[in-house]
Amino acid sequence: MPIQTRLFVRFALGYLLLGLVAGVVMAVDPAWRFLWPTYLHVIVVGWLTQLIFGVAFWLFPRASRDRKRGREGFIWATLVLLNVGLVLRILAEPFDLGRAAGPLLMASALCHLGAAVGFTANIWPRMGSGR
Amino acid sequence: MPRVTVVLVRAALVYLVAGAAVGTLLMGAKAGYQLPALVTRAWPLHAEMLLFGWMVQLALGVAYWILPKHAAAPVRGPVGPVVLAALFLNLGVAAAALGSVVDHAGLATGGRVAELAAVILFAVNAVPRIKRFGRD
Repeated sequence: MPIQTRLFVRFALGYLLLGLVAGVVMAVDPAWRFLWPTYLHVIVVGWLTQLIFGVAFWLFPRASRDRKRGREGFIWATLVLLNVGLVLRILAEPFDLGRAAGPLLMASALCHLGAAVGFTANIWPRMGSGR
Repeated sequence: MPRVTVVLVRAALVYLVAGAAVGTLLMGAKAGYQLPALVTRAWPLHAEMLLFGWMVQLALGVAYWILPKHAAAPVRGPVGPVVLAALFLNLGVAAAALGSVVDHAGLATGGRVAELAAVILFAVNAVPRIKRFGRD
């Protein structure tokens, strides 16, 4: 299992735990329901999408003999952007950060868009044209 | 990797990037930037693209590739239902998403029915392949 996959899966498990804790907190005290959009993205982006990215990078067909898993720079960028974007969102969405919140939330969304593009750039050429 | 998997996975990747782009616009509106009113109503588009266009489509494509094969040809079962499933799923996602954004109940319902048809068609291929390895 490549190092990038190990990192994706470990981060994914961390976000799953964090999301489940947030779910318990919201269930125990409805005053914390403002966490809902962040909770949803921690589970869907931090856990599900991150796990998919890690496993697909590992198991999808190899690009070529010398470039086994495609351009690895794209997948490193994806790993960093996805997680930086999620941390920014966790900080800026539920808590009152004043005027800093808007730019941080935009940076978070742009990081996630960049992660989607980076993953696509790595995986797309690895599938060939099918047979 | 079979061709229909390549098509499904590439379509899923297109929806991933498109869904993230819509999410960026939604976040722009949430962050207080001046954007057209249509953007603020686009969250069903964001959810539809990422849940069905990205995740479900990726799962169907990978499942067709990786589920146990039959001993006799066609080893991955009949491909026709899977091709139709891909067609219905993509038409369904587009219709359901558009219907939700423009508030057109008929379009949204039609999209959901197409998504349901896609999953039933996919099951025609996949259910007989859910078996122990080595079993015909």
